[in-house]
Amino acid sequence: MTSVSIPTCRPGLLALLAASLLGAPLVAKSEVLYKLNTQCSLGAGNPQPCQVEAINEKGATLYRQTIGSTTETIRITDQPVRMERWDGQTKGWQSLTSAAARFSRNTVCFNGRDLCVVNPNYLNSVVQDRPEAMAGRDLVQVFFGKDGRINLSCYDDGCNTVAP
Amino acid sequence: MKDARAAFGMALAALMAVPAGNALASRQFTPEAPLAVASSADILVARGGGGGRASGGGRASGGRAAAGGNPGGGRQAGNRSGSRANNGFGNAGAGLNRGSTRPSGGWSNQVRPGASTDPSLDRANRPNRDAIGSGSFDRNRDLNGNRDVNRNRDVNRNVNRNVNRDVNRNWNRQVNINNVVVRPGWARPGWGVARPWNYGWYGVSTTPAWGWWGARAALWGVGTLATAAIINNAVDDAISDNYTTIVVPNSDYSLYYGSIQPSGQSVVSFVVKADGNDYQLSADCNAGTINGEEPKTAAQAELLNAACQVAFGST
Repeated sequence: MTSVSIPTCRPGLLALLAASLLGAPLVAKSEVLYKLNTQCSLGAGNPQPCQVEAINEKGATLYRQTIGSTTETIRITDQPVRMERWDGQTKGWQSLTSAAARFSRNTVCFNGRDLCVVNPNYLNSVVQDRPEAMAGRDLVQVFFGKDGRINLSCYDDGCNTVAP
Repeated sequence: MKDARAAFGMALAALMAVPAGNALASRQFTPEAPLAVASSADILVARGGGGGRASGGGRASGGRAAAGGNPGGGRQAGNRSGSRANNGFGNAGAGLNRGSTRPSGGWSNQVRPGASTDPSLDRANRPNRDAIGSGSFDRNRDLNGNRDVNRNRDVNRNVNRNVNRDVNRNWNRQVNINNVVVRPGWARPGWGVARPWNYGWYGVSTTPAWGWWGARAALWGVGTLATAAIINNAVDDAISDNYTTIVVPNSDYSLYYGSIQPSGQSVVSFVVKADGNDYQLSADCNAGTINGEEPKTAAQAELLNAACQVAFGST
């Protein structure tokens, strides 16, 4: 009869293993959709080269814009649509006040023109997701209420009517 | 009765609790947190299917070398509204969304810097339509309204006689346009930059670099093909008018511009309407071939040029 020896572990090692197993689900499982070398502007300033990294995770898509030494991260969730900007000082997500897309310029802007990004990938996805609604549109704007949900959407000339 | 009310209340509370839980679950990530990258972008599947009623080939445009086809045609994504009630608010959604659904054509990784790639919310200026191609040989031919009228008559005659005058023998792949994506995400205002592939190299020279061009062009009595501006303008018009096709200049062909899909550095597939049928074709824009053969007519050369311009030309 062959004896089987059971490996022994030190208690510290076991604790580490258990901690890593328990900790694994806490890390958000994410997927990089794309990295895009493009142009951005901050505060309605001059265009600058930037890189957009789009990251998909459960329930949200993150857009990380790296502009020189500055990183701006926008998080967009669906159902309902919310858009938030990461505030590095408060270490928290702040709801946007508005977002706008100009298809003919392949541009999407957040909080007025605080952050503008040429991101055709984003717009291509938006258009293909809702072809009927987007057909013939060039400008789309959404505004967010205090609860972070969209309380106003407008298209093209309609945005002249609702501009704050 | 009280029991029934209580049960209804509990059921309602349970229903309300579900989205609240989901909302909480979605708020896990912070930019400082480590990311466990699962896999590449191809996990998400492009929305396929759907798309496009046949166009009937071009509107009576009085000779304008512009978009043809039918307004409102080319619904795609498998009739997504088919199972929904028409309540009048079907298109009153948020306007913008996550933008995470992979569009057909895929993701781009590079926006080529240029005059039209500065971030801006101002409407892009389109070139003056009247100025496009002025003085050009092709433009003058396109503006011949009588010729267009005759062309329409020719199409009808061909249908009646069942003669496929415009179709090559090796155009052997007819498609149901309803199964083709004719409204991809990039086929919208700003399409020139939105194309998610390498573009801008085609049509740099005023005359095609195809080896067969000189002799054939002389034989056909053609000096040049339609300019990039004419074709670009036709696509702009089609997008603006919600048409799924453009009339290929100097031909009876209607090109489903949204069906254009490169499959390599210079090869592109597309769907064309010819003699009442829709054909899936493949063109090599470097070699100047359609389905592996040199064009047999000037009209086919125009078709090749139009497809290559939309796919790889500058805008």
